[in-house]
Amino acid sequence: MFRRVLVANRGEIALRVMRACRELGVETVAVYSDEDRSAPHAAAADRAVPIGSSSSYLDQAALLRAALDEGADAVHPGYGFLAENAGFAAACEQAGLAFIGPPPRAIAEMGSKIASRAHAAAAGVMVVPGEAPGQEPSAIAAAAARLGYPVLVKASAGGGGKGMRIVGDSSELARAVASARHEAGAAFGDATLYLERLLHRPRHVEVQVFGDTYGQVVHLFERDCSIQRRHQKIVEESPSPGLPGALRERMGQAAVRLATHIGYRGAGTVEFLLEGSGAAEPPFYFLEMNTRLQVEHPVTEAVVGVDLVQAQIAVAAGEPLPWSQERLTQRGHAIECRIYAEDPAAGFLPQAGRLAVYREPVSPGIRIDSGVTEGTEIGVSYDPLLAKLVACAETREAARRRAVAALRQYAILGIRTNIPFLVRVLEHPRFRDATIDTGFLDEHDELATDAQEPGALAAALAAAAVHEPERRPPEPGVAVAATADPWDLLSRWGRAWP
Amino acid sequence: MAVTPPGSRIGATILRLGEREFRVEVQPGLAVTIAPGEERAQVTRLGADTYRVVTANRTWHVAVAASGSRLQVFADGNVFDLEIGSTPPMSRAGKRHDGDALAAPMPARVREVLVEVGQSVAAGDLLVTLEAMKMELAVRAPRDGRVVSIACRPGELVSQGVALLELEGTA
Repeated sequence: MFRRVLVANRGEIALRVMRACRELGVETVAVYSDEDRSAPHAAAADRAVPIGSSSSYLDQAALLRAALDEGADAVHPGYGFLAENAGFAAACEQAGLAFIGPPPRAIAEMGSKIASRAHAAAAGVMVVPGEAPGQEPSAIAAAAARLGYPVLVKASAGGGGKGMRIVGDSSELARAVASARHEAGAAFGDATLYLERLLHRPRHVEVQVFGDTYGQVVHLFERDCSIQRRHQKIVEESPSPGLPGALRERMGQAAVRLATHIGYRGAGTVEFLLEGSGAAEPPFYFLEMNTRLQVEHPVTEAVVGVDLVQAQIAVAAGEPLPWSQERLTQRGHAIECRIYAEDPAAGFLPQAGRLAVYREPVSPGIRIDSGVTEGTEIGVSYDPLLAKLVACAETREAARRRAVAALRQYAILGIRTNIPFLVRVLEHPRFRDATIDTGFLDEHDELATDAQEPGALAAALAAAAVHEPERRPPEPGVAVAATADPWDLLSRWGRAWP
Repeated sequence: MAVTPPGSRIGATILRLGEREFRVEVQPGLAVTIAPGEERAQVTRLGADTYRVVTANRTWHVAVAASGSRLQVFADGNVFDLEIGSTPPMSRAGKRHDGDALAAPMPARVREVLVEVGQSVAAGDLLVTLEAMKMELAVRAPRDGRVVSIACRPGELVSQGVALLELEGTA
């Protein structure tokens, strides 16, 4: 096992990795930018190293230097930043540091959409019908005509919807290709495009896979991530509602075949699109493989009962997989909601500012992975993800209700967050009935508007009128609220006087 | 006999939510009446900034954060931005009629300034690009006009509402 792991990340995922290290008895080294000097992740580690400006989480030399100076023997990249950078993985290994992730070659191969489609096909996994033509306009136009419109233009190096365009007919193609190429070039430094047939109302279902150094590969079932806004996942769950058992089995096997084919090691996710959820046995198509830990990994941990981060660390240290496929089962249901610093009513504009009030709900079956505390200053340099709330229960409906109840107790003030929006999404009849696909949020713009519940305004006005910001603590013996209210104790809502 | 917790505000407060104005009367014992509508609520203080409020239809758990005359309130998953006091006199009154300052819609880093002082611009022209949390925000000309002054530089951090540049209008 490692002695000391450098966590090359920030926010909730850095804290998540450090928690796993602590449980394994492994020391941690945090790195932090100037803006993150007082960030929770810097405080949580055994050692913390300043690495410079806001973009320094991408500074490979600074990260390697920090790891070597502090005597780390491994690096965990989290997700985002350098997690899927094959060059960084290789640089770690050259510096004598274990990279807690897949081999650099697997990262590089799966990082290219075009190459990863070829690998999937070679492994006998169906890919979305598509073509990787030459990059000249005539070749692209011919390929689009063969696939049939509407067609999807995608960036080979793409992710998060960048460099992606839906093209309705041939008259729109030239413009879409030009703008997608520009966007892809700017975002990824690679303007290579390819085409895919546009699937009708697909669901996004992904399979968690895990491999070790000894060639064993297992899958840990699926996550349904169909609740997306402009290709960004908002709500994820496991199991995928209504997925037939035989199909789940086939998807799991397909993911394992692909991971085995490319010699995968560590945690990875094979994303599929499932077309026509109404059919008894709908076809599923390979979309892409993420060669890292996913943001939504906690839903798998909840229903399978494993610790994916600890397993990542163990496997990177050369240990065999801690599970066999036969022993892995899904139990109950888990739903994750991503808490973002953004204002849905203002076009999902990111929010910056100080968290004047930040109270996490505490309840059985609720897990919060957060990277902030009350008083944290949310800056403008990083992703607006504040936290993830994961509700786990016996059934999907129980997990849904548990998530809604917890969101309603998740008081965050000082900036706007998407919590009211998440409550509306989870309370929507289509979410409740699980008749969702990736188009759901984009079809329901009304969920973004600030629809308040009856009575809520009266309650807010009443409390606001009573509120005295600069208040003295109560004198002893004066009757305030009975602090023994069991609800308050359960939720930690009623806090001590300042 | 109603006991009023020390430090609680007793009496009438004017609160605004956007364009709507409410007169909220707090009686000793924290019984509250809201006008218009004469809605009633009973408030219990739970902590320094938390309350239990019983309204006509149900019970709410409420948290309040104050910043000057602004109050942000969380009520069981609903969030309100309230302001204390009656509508202030129009802040535009002191401004020049032909000028208009374009403000940052949120705290952000200035990426590019695409115009120069004296330049004429048409409605919809891109003036400044901002970057916040990996998202690019475009500041466009709301109408035809001429750039009178520029108050930001690329790379600079600006807070919400800060003027980026001033446009002299032809409208």
